[in-house]
Parts: sequence; structure tokens; C-alpha cells
Amino acid sequence: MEDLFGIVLFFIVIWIISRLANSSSQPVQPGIPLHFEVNLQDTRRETNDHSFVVKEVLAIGLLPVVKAINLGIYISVLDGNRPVLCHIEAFQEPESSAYQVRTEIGVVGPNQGFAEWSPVAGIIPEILHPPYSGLRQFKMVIRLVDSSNPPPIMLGFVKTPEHSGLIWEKTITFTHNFTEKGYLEIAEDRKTAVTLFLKMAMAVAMSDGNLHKQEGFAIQKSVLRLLTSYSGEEKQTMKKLCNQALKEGYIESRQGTLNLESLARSLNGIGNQQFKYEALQFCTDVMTADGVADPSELALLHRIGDLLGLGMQQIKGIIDRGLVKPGIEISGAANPDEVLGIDPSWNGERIKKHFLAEFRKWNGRLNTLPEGCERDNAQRMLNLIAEARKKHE
Amino acid sequence: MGSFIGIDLGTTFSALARIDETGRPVIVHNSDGQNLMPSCVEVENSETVHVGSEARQAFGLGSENAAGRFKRKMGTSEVYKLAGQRFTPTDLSALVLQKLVNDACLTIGDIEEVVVTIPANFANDAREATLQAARKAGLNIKYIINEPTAAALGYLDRENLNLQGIYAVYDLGGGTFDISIIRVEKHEVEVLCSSGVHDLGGMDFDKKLREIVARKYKEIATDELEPEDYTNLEAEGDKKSLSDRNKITTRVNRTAIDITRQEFEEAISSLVTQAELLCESTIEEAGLKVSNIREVLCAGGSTRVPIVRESIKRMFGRDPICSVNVDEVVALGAALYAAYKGNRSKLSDAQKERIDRLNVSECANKYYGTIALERDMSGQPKAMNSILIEKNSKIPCSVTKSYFTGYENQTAVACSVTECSDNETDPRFVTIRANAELDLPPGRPAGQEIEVTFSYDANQIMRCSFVDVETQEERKLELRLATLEDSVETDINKFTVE
Ligand SMILES: Nc1ncnc2c1ncn2[C@@H]1O[C@H](COP(=O)(O)OP(=O)(O)OP(=O)(O)O)[C@@H](O)[C@H]1O
Ligand SMILES: [Mg+2]
Repeated sequence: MEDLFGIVLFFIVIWIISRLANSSSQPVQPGIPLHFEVNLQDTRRETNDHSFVVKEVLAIGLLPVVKAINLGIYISVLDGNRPVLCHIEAFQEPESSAYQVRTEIGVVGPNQGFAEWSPVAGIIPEILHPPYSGLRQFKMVIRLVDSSNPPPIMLGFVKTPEHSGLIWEKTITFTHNFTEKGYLEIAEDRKTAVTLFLKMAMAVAMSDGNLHKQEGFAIQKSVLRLLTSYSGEEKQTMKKLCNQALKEGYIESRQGTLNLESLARSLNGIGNQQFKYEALQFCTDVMTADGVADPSELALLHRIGDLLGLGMQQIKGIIDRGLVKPGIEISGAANPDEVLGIDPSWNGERIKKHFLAEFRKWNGRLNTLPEGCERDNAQRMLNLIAEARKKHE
Repeated sequence: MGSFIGIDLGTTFSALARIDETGRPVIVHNSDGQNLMPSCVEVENSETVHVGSEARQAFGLGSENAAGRFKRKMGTSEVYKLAGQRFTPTDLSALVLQKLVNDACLTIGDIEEVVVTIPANFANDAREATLQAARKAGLNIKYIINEPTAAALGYLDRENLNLQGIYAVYDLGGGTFDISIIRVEKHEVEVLCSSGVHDLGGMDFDKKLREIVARKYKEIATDELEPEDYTNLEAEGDKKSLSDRNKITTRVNRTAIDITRQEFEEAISSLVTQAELLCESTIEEAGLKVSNIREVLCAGGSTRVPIVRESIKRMFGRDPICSVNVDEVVALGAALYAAYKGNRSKLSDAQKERIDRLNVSECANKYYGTIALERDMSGQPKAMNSILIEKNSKIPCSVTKSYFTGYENQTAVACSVTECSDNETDPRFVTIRANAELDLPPGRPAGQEIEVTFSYDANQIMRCSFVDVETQEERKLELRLATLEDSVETDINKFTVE
């Protein structure tokens, strides 16, 4: 997948460059068809180890603009009335993950256009993420817009159709076969998965026979975080589902009937790698709720990773991240004044005040940070402040 | 009639005091006849466990089956393996407490009420772990007290000092450094401000001394210093000698190594500077100047180190008062507190007379707040910690603040109670003590007022309420900040989301 991102970006750049050349080297030409039209054409691209289809958008004719504007071509894709999404940020709407590709043509005037069918943009179906899998019919919406005043587009639709920045719009249908699950199908699977990994987390929390408050709060916190990606009725449904899973998980683990192996088997049955990561992440969060995990707890996490069929590397990655959350990095060799943000122009009084404030800040943090790297860093900061202050005395 | 006792559960040494018939606190010596008992545990086998001096010897010699200094690890998941058994810091502390109490019971009989001391800066987990250790040791414990506050009470009991005004209590022990600024008015003690550095104490001084010895040993004997060549106990002994002498000679594998006090002072100067920074910061926090401080009252064995006293003198412009036994004063104060907080009908008339006139008021040890959304310059919402109760607010206190919903048709607000040691706005650096959600009716515009009230009472219980002003719908949360709270929850509904 990673190389695909590179390939996609590469082609987009090619299009923009060739088109810019077009418009500057061939200004108004007699013989340009008066009517502006677009069409789709499949081309197959090859890289060393990958071959994929590009649906190129070809355009011909005089651009439908009445004055000189900064022209852009924005493309969205819909499956019925539902948006088609994309995981690559460069191909997302600014405020959602719905697919959108924006090509900037530059400034054009009313007399410019394409004398013959020319490629102006394109999409790669492989990077699309539709709501359902299988052979689907999609609508590609091609819009010419004023890039200096673009119309707001949300989930593939223009929010205000009469917006003056929307110049021209056309919908072309195409079909494509998707083998991977669609996002609505995944959402359904996710409900099952959430139930399973909440129960796994409960099994982890109860591994010592008790549910400690910190563990309870950690589960609650993770559930709240999970709920932030839902809204409205869906959120209510998810809440019910989570609460139900928690209660069941608690009762079952007290009765000793909660079995990590069978939970993991069910989760594996869904066949979504992402859920497995999430499950292990969830368990790690619960386990590190008290700031650290002892060796027996770590062993349990590793076992869960194994049960889920995750590789050693991935398991370690998730667990380590849980133990040492990314944050401040302090290098030992750094110049203390620089690390502490001391301005050389400050007078002694100002510096002294700054030291006190920094000291208070890091001393305070020392007590909230979990053990390990971040805590050590906070302690190192205190030592650094003391050293710096001695130097300034 | 049972006794009221106070226990100073120290990093290196612990002590137990009781209220005598006249209502004055006195140290109760242990079965070895000592006032102080080393906070060390040695496990011989599953039946035999030694606590105290014998265990300290073993620990000092680096025995695998002995542990010490576990106070620093309270509230963490550190595990000590001693003679094949696993012990948490809480388990080990429980053993120390048990030994102290069992020894004391031999001379004083039954126990009515116990107070155990903790450093002012102890994080919540460590506080809870201490309470749990006490319970594990079978003690009837309801309260804990901050070490510098206990020290202040211990000093207050010395009538010859005639305390009146504002004082700093400077407590530098084996593992932690605490400072409290207190106001004393006859028999009333009001804590204005207290703070601490978690990892700063005599054992860090020992470590620095060891580094000097290692460096010199390498120079002279061209060999690495191994742990058994120069034990912790030897380092501690040499450090104490340097408090009395300008130069000492220590022997490591027949190599004589000279250490001067100046070298030692140089090595620990950065640690002393940290103590100075904390003092200045605390005085500033209390809204005071150094000139407002009448005297500095010392507690903790490490205040015997000359450079520490010099540092105090340099900062405060006067010699500190060390007229009590600095390693006992905390336990003495804790015993007074046990009687003060305990059931006074169990006191004799003479005891009652002394205890009744006492008045201790603490201040909030941390900042308490809630997580709110704030819009930055570009209008992007960003989570931030918003403080309601400031650190050092005199308790009891109550603070109400209004917050507003951020979105149209917002149907819930998150109600969180956060705790932090500094005026922290970054939610990553705060501890979330409680969490809930308040449901709101749909269909209302943004900007609905949510009134949040935090009330901190004298028993260190904090009640938090989140009220939707329009509908008067309320969500309540309660925190117990210094009393025993069972950390195991059996009601799963506490953790479901609403
Ligand atoms: N004469 C001395 N010179 C230097 N240090 C000393 C002297 N006497 C005692 N100490 C040090 O004081 C420390 C013990 O003090 P104290 O008993 O007050 O601490 P603690 O209560 O065990 O620790 P804490 O209060 O930090 O948990 C030890 O580190 C000891 O080496
Ligand atoms: Mg002490």
C-alpha cells in the first residue's frame, strides 16, 4: 500500500505539469470546440511490482468561464448517496475523510480551452474505500471551481449549490469491483469487535481477581474515546453495546467463564487486522492504568498478541508505546539554557523567575507522569534546571 | 484505654510515638530499645522475616533477600523478589508498620487510633498505597498527615520555643524533601503552603559520595568499584562522618581513599540547589517573601549535613532551628494529630486539655480542575485543564465556575475531575481522578451554561457537581483525598458510560 501512495502522488504531479505547459504554450486557438466536455478513459499503469488502473479524466473545448479566474478541478466519488472515502490524507476533503482530488489549473481566461481531448485529472480506484464490497456502480462528480473562492464540499456534496465559486459540474458513472470490505460492513463488524475487546480488557483487568478503580476508569476512558467517533443514534447504540459488554465481561470473569482464547478466536474470525491492534491497544491501556506493568502483566499482553496472531514486532510496538508514551525528549548533551528557553538578553531577575517557574512545572509533572522514560525525563529536567541555575549564580 | 499513636514511615528509618498521660507525645522505643527502626526487610524463608536493624545489615551488605528504601516505590508496580517470594512496596511497608506496632504493643498495650505520615508531595497512588499498607498491617487507620505538617505540630509542642508567626518547616530525610510554610497562632497551626521533591534525600547524597569513591578508586587502584567493595551502609557512614569532619579516609579493598567535605559538597551541590529552588518556589506560591519567615524549623536526618544548613542560612538569612531531635519530630507530631482527629472521649482529662486547644488547618495539596474545551486563535477546539481549586487554598473551601457548551445540539458534556501539582493546562500532565457524563436535552444552541462546583471539606473529601443551569440536571462526583478508600470496585456500573 505504501508504494501506492508514492505512485499516486507522482502521477498527480505529472498531470499538473503537462497541463500548465498546455495553457501557457497554446493560448487561444481557433478550432477549439465551443462546447466544454469531459470523459473518462481507463489506462493501466505499471510499476516494478504493481499494475493498476487509472481512470483519467479527459477534457475538450472552451473552458466555461466568463472572466479570468483561478481554475481548479475537484473530483468526488459517490456510491448512490453515500460518500466514498479514502485513507490517504492528500486525497481527502479538508474536513472529512471522503475522497476528493483537487487539481489546480492556474489562472485561465474566457478564451482558453483544450483543442483536443487532454488528460486533466485522474483517480485510482484502488485507493477508494466504498461503503460496500463487490461490483459497485459509482458516480464520479467532476466540478470546475474558482480556487480562490471554492464552494464548500462535504461528503461529496456541495453544501450550497448556488455558490458562485461552483462553475460547472458533471457526473459520470463507472463500475469497479472491490474485494475488501466496505466501510459500512466494517462498521457492522466493528460492533462485534468492540464487544469482544471490551471483554478481553475486562479479562485483563480482572486477571488478579479484582477490578481496581484505576482499571475501571481506564476502561471507561477508552470507551469514551471510542465513542467520540460516533454521533447521534449510532452513539447511543454503541454506548448500550459497550455497557452491556462491560457488565457481561465483569460477571463472566467473576464466574470464571470468560475465556481469552475463545474471545481471541472470535475476533480473529472477523478477519480485520485493525481490530486486533485495537484490541491489544485496549488491553495495554487497561494494564498500564496504574502507570506501569509488571512482568506477569507484560507476559499476559504478549499472550494476547499471540492469540490474535500478531507478529512479535507489532506486539512489542503496541506494548512499548503503551508503556512509554511519546512525549518530551531531552538529550543529555543539550545546552541547558537552550533547553530551558532562556533568552540571552534577559536580566538576572527574569532568569531567576524563569527557573522557578520551570522547576515548579517539572516537579509537578514528575508526580503525574507514569514511571519510565517520561518520568526520567522530568527528573532530568529538574537536574538540568539546578545545573543551569548554579551556572547563573 | 487504647493509645493514640503516630508513625513516621520513613524511607530509611521509621519511628512510632504515642500520647502520654499528660497529653504530650513521646517516642516509644522498639524491642531493640531503639527510638528509630530501619525501614528494611529481610526474608530468610517463608516463615522467618526480619524487620529493622538486622535486615538493615543484610540490605547494607547487598543481600538479595533484603530490601530497603521501598518508600520511593510506593504506588508503583515495582516487585521485590526476596527468598523466592514476591513483595510489593506496599507489602514491605506493611511489614515495617506491623513490626513497629507489635513492638510498641508490648509496652503500651492496645491501640486506639493510628496516623501514618507521608511526604507532602506524595502522588495519589503512593498515598493510597500507604493507607493500604497500614490496613494490611491490621491497623485501624483513618487519617494520614503530611510529614512537614506533623513536624510543625511536633515543634508546637515545645513550649520553650514559643512559636508565633510564620515559619518554614524544612524536612530533608532519607528519601524525600518537603517544605511547608505555616502560620502559628498560640496552639493553632495553619498550613499556608506545602510542596516537595519526590526523589531528594540522604540516599541521593550517599549515591553521590559513592560516585566520588568509585572515581578515586579507579584512579588509584585502576579498577572498577563493585557494589560489595563499598556498601551503601559504608557510604552512609562516611557521609555522616563528613558532617563532623573536614576530611575522612575510607578503605576499599585495602586502598585508602581520602575524601574532603569540600569534594562531597561539590558533588551534592546540584541537589542542594533543587532544595533551594523548591523553597523559593514555595514561598512565592504562598505569596510571601523570605523576610516574612520568622524561623526555619528543621526535620529529617539530612538537615545535619553542614552544606544544607549553610544553604538554609544563605536563603533565609538566619540559622535554622534544630532544637528537637530531627529524626523524631515527625512521629511526635503525628501522635498529636492522631489524638486531635480521633475519638476524644477516649482521652483522659489531662490529655483532653492539651489536645482540645490544638487547631490544625491544612491547605489543598494539589490543584483540582476539570477538562474543558478552549478555542484557539483559529477557532479550533483544544482540550485544556481548567483549574477550580487552587493548590494551597485553605480548606474547607468551595469554588463555582461556569462553563458553556461548545456546539449546537450538544447532548452531553464530559464531567472530569483532574488533579495536578502545578498550575497545569496541558491535559496530558494531569491525573484524572473521576469521570462521568452529564446528558443534556437535544436541540439547544451552543453556549448553554454548565455550572461546576468543587467543594473541599475539612476531612479532605471533595464533592464535585456539574449542573446544567437551564434544566437543573446534575451530576455529582465525590473524591476522598486523605482517608482510606477501597481501591477495589465491585459495582461495575461505576464504569459504564452514560
Ligand atoms: N549526621 C548526619 N549527617 C548526614 N546525614 C545524616 C546524619 N544523620 C542522619 N543522616 C541521614 O538522614 C537520613 C535519615 O533521616 P530520616 O530518618 O529523617 O529520614 P526518613 O524519615 O527515613 O526519610 P524520609 O522522611 O525522606 O522518608 C539518612 O539518609 C541519614 O543518612
Ligand atoms: Mg522522614
